[in-house]
Amino acid sequence: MKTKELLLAEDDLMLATLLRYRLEKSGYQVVLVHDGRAMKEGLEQKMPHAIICDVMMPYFSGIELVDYLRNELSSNIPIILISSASNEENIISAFNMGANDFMAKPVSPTELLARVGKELNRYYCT
Amino acid sequence: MYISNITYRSISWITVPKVPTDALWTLTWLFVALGVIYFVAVFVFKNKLNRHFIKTKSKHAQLAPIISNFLFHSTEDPKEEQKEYVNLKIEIREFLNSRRFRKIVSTILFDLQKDVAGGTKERLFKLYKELGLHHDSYAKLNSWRWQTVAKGLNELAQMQVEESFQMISKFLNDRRGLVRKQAEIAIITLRHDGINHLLDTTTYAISEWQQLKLIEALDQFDNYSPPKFSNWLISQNNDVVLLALRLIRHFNQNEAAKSITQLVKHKDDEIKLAAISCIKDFNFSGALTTLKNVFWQSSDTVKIQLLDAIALLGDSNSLPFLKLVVTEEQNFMVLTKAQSTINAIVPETILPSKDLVETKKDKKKKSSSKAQKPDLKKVGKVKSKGKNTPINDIEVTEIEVYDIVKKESPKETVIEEATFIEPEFEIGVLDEMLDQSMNASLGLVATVEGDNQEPSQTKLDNVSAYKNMSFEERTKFINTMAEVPDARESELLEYIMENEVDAELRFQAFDVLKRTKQEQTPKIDEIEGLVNQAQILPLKYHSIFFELYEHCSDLDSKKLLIREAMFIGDLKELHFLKGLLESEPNALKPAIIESISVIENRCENGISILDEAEFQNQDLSHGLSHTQKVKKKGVEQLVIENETEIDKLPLEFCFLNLEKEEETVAKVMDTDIFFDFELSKEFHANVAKSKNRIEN
Repeated sequence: MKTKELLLAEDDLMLATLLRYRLEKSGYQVVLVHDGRAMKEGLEQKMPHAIICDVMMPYFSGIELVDYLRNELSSNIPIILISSASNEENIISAFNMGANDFMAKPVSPTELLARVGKELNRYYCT
Repeated sequence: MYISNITYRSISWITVPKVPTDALWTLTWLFVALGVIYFVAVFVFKNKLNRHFIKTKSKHAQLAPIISNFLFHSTEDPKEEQKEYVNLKIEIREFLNSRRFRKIVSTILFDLQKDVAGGTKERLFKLYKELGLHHDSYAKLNSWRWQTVAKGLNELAQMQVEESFQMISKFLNDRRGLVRKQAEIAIITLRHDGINHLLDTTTYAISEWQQLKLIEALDQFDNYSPPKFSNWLISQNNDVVLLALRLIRHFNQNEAAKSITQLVKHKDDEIKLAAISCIKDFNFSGALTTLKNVFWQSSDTVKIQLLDAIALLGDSNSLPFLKLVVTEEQNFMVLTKAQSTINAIVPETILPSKDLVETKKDKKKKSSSKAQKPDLKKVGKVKSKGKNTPINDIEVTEIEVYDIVKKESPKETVIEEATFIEPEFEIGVLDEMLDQSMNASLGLVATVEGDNQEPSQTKLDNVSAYKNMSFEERTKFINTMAEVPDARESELLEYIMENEVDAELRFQAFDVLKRTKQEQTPKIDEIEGLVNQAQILPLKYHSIFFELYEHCSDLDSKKLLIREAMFIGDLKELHFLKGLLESEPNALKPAIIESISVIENRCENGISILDEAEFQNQDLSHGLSHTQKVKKKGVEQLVIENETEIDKLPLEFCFLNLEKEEETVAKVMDTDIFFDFELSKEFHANVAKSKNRIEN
């Protein structure tokens, strides 16, 4: 079975490294970017199987990414948003834009892994 | 000459300073050099900081995968990964010898623990201890700088180093406020029972902000079962009591009703307010009496909160108290709150009256009342054609107006005035009556005019006004009186009962009169407060011995009081003594039982024993009527008509019949009077000492 490629966009170096390590250990191929501009460039080059993205990022926020993907690139790939601002308004606007899942910080890497697996299964196996 | 000397003489301190022009270039070079040094220093330090930042960042990047490896390492991992893990451990041990590196690792772990949750976080805490970084935090606790100590406490709490609990608890009573605050949060964060330890040991004040932070820290726990915070309501530290009250409220522990109610009497306003909040939240309706009792001793802020609580818990029984507040209270905010409380209990009791647009009816009313005003001060003598002259037949030009002479016979004046008012100002009188009854019912106005008027005059006014009303007006008038029955209207009601043609109105008047007599609650009299208070209190508190007994500290004085109660006591003392039987120790019980039996015998022979409700309804109302009599006729005119009435006199008026009381007491005292004194051990010891001194 071909390994699934994930794009992880997170500006916090330590958390990003930790999550990448955890995801890679579980068999995913992870492309790590630290800001919105790099993420946009990455998406233009190659579309991953799923995206894990922090909402608050330099240049390009997570919500803008969802909007860009769904409306401009017309892509339906699973997007999981991570944010430390877990207020109701944020979550609702993320889902309204077309995000598939939302996780509030602090994040449990194991839980994230489970959610990624569920989203990939739902999108690629159905 | 003199002038020219003064004019051309140079004054040193106002002359132009001499600049050494040769040194100008030197100074220029000096300032340029200083500028260069400044810019070079800025450049060097900035570069140094940048290099440090880049270095730290690269260290972070270098350490991130190592820490990730440590955090997600498992014994089930493949051999290659196991090998890598061991190598990394050796590598990091070497790095950890450097103090700077240890600091970087600590920072990484602290940052990371904010972003991760679940099992990863627990593994991170474990890693922190495995790397021995907690020893650095311990070392910080020994620093003389408060900020370093506070940082150490914070690190230990964040990294959940439970072993540090005892060390941290030492800082709970630290004289440095910030260290103390950090220790308080740390102790709560470390263990579930940390709050118990904090409440038990802290002797310093805990600020309101800190209290909120502590409550927030407790909320972070999963599956937290809070202790019974009511245990700390008796703490000597007021802030602990306050925190305990807030925690009780936060965790909905409503089993400490008595303690919380008791705290409403606390001297500290904050504790009072917290206790009131608890009472409101938990609906402790039993605290209503205490709320009313402490009201007059409280500050305005507390009064408002008390009224808020009464609005929530109170019922119609609280209305007399609230009316008293409305009449007595000076503070505008409290007064307004009391009014809104009345409306909260019985909606629309008080209607808006200020800044209202005047309608035609209002204007008419106003003009009529204005026109009526002179009538109260002046007497109009009407020359009418016949005895029962209709209104239209009166010739206004024939009215002669002159000032009242006070010494004139009031009856004559009244009759003339009544004759005068009757045709002209029927609406004004009606409105005034309605206003009076409304105001009296609300306790807003102490009806000065009404008080000054003779009762018979008022009656005649009312009767004459009533006679001129239409059927609809009469119905409305009686309905108004039925809403707020008032004892002062009983005469008018009696008149209506006797003279009204319409049977329905007669019956309504009878009904209102019956209710008025039942309630017997005059609104403005000062006695009302006493009666209401008396009705609220249990019967035993009516005894004059109650308060004296409360202040007795030793058994002998208590015995003496019980014996005195036996001699002069009546129904109230009987209840008081029965209450003592339940609460007092066995040593006093024989004396109490003896007193009860003597008083019971006396009551059976003389005054019949009433139950508590009967006492409140009959005895108090009886007392009230006597008080009114005293007020109306004066003490010297109070004539006790027969023996049975003397027996019913309330205790306050017993002095009016001293002779009889003395006889009764003497009879009882003839039977058994003895005083028993016990000398204390100290007394004997003192006597022995003084003897020894004399002998020596």
